[in-house]
Amino acid sequence: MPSPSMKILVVDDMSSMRRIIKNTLKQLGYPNVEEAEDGQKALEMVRKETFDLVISDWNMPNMNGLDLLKSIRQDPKLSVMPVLMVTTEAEMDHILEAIRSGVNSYILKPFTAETMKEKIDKVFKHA
Amino acid sequence: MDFHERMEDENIRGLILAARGIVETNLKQKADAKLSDELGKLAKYLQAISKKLQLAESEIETASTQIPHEADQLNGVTRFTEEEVHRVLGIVEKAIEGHDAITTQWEMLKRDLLGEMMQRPLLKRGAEEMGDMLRGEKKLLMDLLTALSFQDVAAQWLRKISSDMTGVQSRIRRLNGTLSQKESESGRKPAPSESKEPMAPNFSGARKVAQTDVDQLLKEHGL
Repeated sequence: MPSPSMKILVVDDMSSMRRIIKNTLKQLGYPNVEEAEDGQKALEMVRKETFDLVISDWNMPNMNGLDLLKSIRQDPKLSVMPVLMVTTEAEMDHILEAIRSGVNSYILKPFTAETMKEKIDKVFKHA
Repeated sequence: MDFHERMEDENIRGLILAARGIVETNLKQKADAKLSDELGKLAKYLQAISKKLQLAESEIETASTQIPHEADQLNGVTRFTEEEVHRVLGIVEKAIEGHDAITTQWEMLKRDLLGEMMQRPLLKRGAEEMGDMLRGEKKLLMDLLTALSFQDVAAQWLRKISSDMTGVQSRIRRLNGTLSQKESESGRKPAPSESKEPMAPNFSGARKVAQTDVDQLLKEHGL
């Protein structure tokens, strides 16, 4: 089971989306959440600080979610970090690409708190 | 060469000049040929087409200048809806806080009345029903919170439309560039942004792929 004290990084270019996810995580018992507005910023943050989980959108400026995922997987110090994508990107080919690039789970927007909980529990069950 | 042959020769030359003018994008050149009936009519038709093309070019150019404004309007919709979502989020956050406070009080009251509830089944049942209602209300508030993420889906749509419109404008400019003869003396070259098509964001939210389809795919890959 994931720990309530785990540190989560939420990455999305929409501030309203980051707020929604942050509130949902808080209600699920994970209050320790930080935010980044694009993949590039997120990559800098995960290289500087320790995070237990990254929750990322796909379509973002500067660096999109898929490239962020690939960069994390290519970095030996970060390669096993759990990454969960929460995105509008619903094409099966793209989802497959994310899976092949090493995503731990995938949630389509709009989502429910139950789905978020289920996916987080599953990510840490497999970890 | 007799008179008729000379006439046909000049008219054909005129036609060739007019046709070349259209091909080389000078729509202003007239097919100035004196012709016998069929050749004369053909020249007139070509002239009419030339005039229509000039008019169309002008209208297309005018219409395409509206596109940046319309694209900006779409971006404005995104900004406006995001602001409103933040406002609603503020209200939902307060409602959740209030609800959590009520739930906490309720739990404390239940603990205090535990002994009495054991002796009074009706009271106990009422307490349980109250607990179920509180949980149900909390779920509704959470569903409301996460449903606000519709705005992100809508924003992606709008960005895609805006980007497609900008792409159409670029294509129109390129088309007009090939239809109109540019003044070579002006030395004006098309601006770099006119010749590049902007990258459309890769949004596929329109396809009705459900979370259950995604879950199936994840399961197939052991996730």
